[in-house]
Amino acid sequence: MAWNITALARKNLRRKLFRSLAIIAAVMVVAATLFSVTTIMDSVEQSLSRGTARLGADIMVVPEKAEAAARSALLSGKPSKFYMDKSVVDKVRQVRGVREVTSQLFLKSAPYQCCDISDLFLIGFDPEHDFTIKPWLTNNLGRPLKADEVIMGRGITAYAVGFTVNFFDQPFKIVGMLEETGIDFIDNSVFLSYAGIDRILPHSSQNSVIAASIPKDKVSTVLVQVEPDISPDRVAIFIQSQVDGVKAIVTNHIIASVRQQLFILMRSVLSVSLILWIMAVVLVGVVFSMIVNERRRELGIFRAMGARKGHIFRLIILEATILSLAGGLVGVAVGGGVLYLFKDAIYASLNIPHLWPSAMRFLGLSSICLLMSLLTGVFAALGPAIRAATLEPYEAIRGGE
Amino acid sequence: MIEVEHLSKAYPLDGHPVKAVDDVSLSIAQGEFVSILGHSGSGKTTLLNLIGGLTRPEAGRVRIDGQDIWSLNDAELSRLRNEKMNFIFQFASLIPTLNVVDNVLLPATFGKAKPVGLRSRAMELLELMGLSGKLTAYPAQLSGGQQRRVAISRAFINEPAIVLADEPTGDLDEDTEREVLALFRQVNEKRRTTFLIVTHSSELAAKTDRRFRMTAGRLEII
Ligand SMILES: Nc1ncnc2c1ncn2[C@@H]1O[C@H](COP(=O)(O)OP(=O)(O)OP(=O)(O)O)[C@@H](O)[C@H]1O
Ligand SMILES: [Mg+2]
Repeated sequence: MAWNITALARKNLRRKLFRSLAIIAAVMVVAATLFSVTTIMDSVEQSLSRGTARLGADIMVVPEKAEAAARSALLSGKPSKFYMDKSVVDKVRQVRGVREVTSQLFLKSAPYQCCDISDLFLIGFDPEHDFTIKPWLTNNLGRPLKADEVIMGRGITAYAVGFTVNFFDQPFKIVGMLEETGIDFIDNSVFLSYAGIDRILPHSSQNSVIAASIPKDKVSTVLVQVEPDISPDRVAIFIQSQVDGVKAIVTNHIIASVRQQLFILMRSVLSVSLILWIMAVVLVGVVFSMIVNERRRELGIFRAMGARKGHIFRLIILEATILSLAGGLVGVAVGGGVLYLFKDAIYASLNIPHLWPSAMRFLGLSSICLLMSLLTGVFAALGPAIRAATLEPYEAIRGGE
Repeated sequence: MIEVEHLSKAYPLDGHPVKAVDDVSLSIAQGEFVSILGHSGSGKTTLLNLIGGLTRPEAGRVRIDGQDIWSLNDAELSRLRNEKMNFIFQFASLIPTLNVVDNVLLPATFGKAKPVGLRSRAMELLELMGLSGKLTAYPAQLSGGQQRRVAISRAFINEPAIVLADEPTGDLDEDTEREVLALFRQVNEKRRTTFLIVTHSSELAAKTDRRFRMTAGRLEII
């Protein structure tokens, strides 16, 4: 085995330090762009899939007039209140293709007493039938939620499990925290049972302002799971034709529309990345052609000393690998760094839900970027490497003069 | 054992081919110490490269130990070059990124075995060449003659059976030339290494066992 080809490659790269650095820089720019774009995309994707999984519903039925508000609640996380009559729940249950139905009621907390959080979003749900919170309860709490207990979204950092918090002058014990989803509407909400809502109802009426905000016999949204053999789209159409005054939002559509929105936002970035990528491939290709030309004699001498075609090919590809991996590493670091520093500004301007990736996901994304950088360099050096390997030794030695 | 039969190679010059090597046949037994004399442009380098398998002939055959070298595949031919023969080129042939010792070790880089003990062998050879003080120098820091001596050390690192030397003493002074030739002789006698030395110095040629002369691509015994 050729034990020292790596050393040969390294030594040669060091000789042409400036050129090596130029290639590293080119690959770095591509890797940095690629890394930051994919990280942003991934954070949104993650947030959406977790958020909708938490929502757990195929269809979200809301008052007709509240469609825009409901959509924006899911996307940009600004919660809002809207109500429809409780009878909608049963009506929806009758629709063909509907398997399970549950409802939720949205409220806003109000300052009633010192030191409790006001302006929190409260979501009342049915602990018996709710298929969005119930699985979580079964897995994490192991029992139904009691009337004086609440679960909090991960975004409410002022409290922890075990604390007691007052809503409308009624104490509630925090028994759980939901996993972060990146969707404010879920992360910054407090979930309590309908029985819990009933507890605060009489107290709220003591104050006229608050009383007005606690509706009776109303629900905000009806969440639907459809039968497995029917598409949510069709069921949504059935619901809308059979139940008056409602809008049935298919949750998958929300994901699709966000993806599209994100793609439009990212399109210019993506096209710039593509141009950068092409430039990097061309640059690396040209530089490696130059390298091969300049080193013809050297390569011919290697051959005369017993190097095989494969050794020469490997030597050139190895140099490309080292440079593009270095470029990729620096690129991921730079891209990640810039993203980290400016993430708040970036996400604020994008105004879509996002979930800063976990360390594991970061590792995955970086690996993909490194692999892409590597492929870029190797792909660009492939032609020159083949040419170098197939040079006739004597021609190469003479031609290098 | 080197056997060359009706070897020809032409290069195009102004549109028509000029025969650099023209129907050359020769046979050199293992352990012979042979020289090829000839004027500049007579085809000596071309012949040497044909024998070493660095360029493909138009016609004819080269056999090393009975093996037709152009019937070998790339791996086999590379191995032959690596293990059985080595070259001393006419021009500067050191790798600029490698220091003196690593240059000498270069053939081992492409060899099969891990170069155990080769480093000390490289140092010995370099010492023999009077270069012990330059072990970590780079080719650019050496004189032409010093570079040549490194190249000569390199040719011996894998203990080849055949050494193809193209003007090996071209840029050496008379004393060094004598020393180098003495070393060649010593290796030749001790290991029965075959030497094929191209030169334009009849003085050097006189010290070899058998002499050929090349004239316009054709070879004759003198
Ligand atoms: N690759 C090549 N392309 C074109 N012509 C070549 C090539 N190699 C050699 N020649 C020609 O073939 C002839 C023989 O060249 P070669 O290098 O073998 O001569 P030489 O005897 O080694 O000369 P010198 O003593 O000057 O080194 C010359 O006329 C040269 O111009
Ligand atoms: Mg010559």
